[in-house]
Amino acid sequence: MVLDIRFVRSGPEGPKDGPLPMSGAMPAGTRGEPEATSWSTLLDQAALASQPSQFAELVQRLRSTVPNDEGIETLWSMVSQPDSRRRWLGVLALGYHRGWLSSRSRVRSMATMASREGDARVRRAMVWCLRQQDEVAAFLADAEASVAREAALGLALNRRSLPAVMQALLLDSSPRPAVEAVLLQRLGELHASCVQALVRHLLRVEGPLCPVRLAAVLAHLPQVPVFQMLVEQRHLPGWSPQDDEDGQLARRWQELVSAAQRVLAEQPRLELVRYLLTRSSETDAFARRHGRFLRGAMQRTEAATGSALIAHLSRLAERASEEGVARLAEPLVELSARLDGESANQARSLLEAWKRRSPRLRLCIYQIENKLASD
Amino acid sequence: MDDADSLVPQVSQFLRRTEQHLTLEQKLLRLHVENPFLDEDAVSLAVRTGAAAEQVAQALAALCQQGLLQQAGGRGYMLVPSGLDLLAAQVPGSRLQAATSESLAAAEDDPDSSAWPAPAGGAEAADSWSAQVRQRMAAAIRAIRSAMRGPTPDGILAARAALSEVDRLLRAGPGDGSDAAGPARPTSN
Repeated sequence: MVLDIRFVRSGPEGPKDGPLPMSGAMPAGTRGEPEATSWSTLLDQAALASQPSQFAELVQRLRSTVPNDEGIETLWSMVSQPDSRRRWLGVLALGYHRGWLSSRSRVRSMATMASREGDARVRRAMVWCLRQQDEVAAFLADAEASVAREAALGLALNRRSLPAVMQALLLDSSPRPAVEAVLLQRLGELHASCVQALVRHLLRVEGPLCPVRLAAVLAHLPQVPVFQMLVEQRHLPGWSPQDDEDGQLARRWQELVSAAQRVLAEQPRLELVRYLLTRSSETDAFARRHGRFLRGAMQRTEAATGSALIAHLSRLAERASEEGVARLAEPLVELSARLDGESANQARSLLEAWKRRSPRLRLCIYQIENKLASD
Repeated sequence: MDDADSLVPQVSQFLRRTEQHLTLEQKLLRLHVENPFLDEDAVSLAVRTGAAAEQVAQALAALCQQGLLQQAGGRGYMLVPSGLDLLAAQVPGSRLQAATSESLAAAEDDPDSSAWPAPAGGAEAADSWSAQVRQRMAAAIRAIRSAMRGPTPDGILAARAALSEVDRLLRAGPGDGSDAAGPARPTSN
């Protein structure tokens, strides 16, 4: 919770009347000193400002003045007048002072106004005003690219908005690069639990999926939950082959699995490599099943992340069994061969430390080094 | 009309260049002119601009140092009045001196009018348009070549975006007084 101290009064003994300490007169509808016309006056002055400094000063006043209920009403009535010159600024002011968002009916009204708004500039401002609300998702399909992009920026990424996001990224027949770029970038923010919902949604989507677009989506999702679901096949979505009469779900599932395997193998991020190493150190079955994948991922890992991986390997080895360390030795030997400078020294030091843990481990690491050298 | 057209034309004029030629600082300043109530931190602005958050943080610090933006509360940034005047003074042939409030208001009421100065001449506008088309086509060819050398989803998307940009420019044609790479002109639908 954030305490709004912008207009903290000086206390019970402080001034109860007169303007609050800000430049110029107190605008209307502000906390404590409602004045029916000041909001509209300020917006009028800002809308007609011819000097940048004058405009910016007025905006600063509009930003620093918190409207009370009456002020919100004044702004709302301005925004509702279709011919008002002040609408754009009024909408932006409502987008900045967001107390009214606690009223669902207000939110719905704003969404309805935005959907009917003819002026794209005002519509875009309305979408900005509604940012992080579920209603924004509908504007991803807006005919005006700038409005759709604003919706992509302000979208609340959750299970409810996923269908609209997938529609925009995978199913729209007319590509909109500016919107797609924002959505792809934001997919990385998706909570791990939503990845399952996304896969479930993709399983049910009708019609073919473009392989390039699908790969782009998978490449931008958090990699660990994608790996867990589509490669490791944990946390499977709730469907069984018995329910799949025509095999359509099974085909789509295979399509997703092969795309995910390809994308993750080609562009493994640090988070995924860390996960693979952790799980390999913990269980032999995982190391055997995904050993090839881990080797490929280690080979593609950027040298810049070498130090971070060595630190991670060092931490894992501290709590791992001897067998676990032996399973980590191969990735470390491989990594040390690709590094140079300080990182290479760190890797070699860690290997020497592991060799000192037991004769069996020393022999194991020698064998791995010889094997990789002969390859 | 563009978002900032009716507000601070000379500042917008300064910022109104092809996206390729806009520095990150100019892009950030433009975002705050287009929406002076914007209240976003470096991470959110990075998504808006497509730049890395660290670069955005550096650019914001530079804009604050230049007196164009200032921190607003604990999160976002806002325009500095005096800084905007300084910026406006740097724009040659500023429209502001001639512009009256009435003319700005009239421009805003007329969706077909542009608050931007018209191109100096038809031939000059056509030359400028041709140069932009050539530039964008070269960028598109580079992106396609790069995507063909090592196809990745990002590379293919970048190539497609570059082609869409060329397509948009061609459809706009030389007669469109707007900057080809500037923000899309709102349609009055």
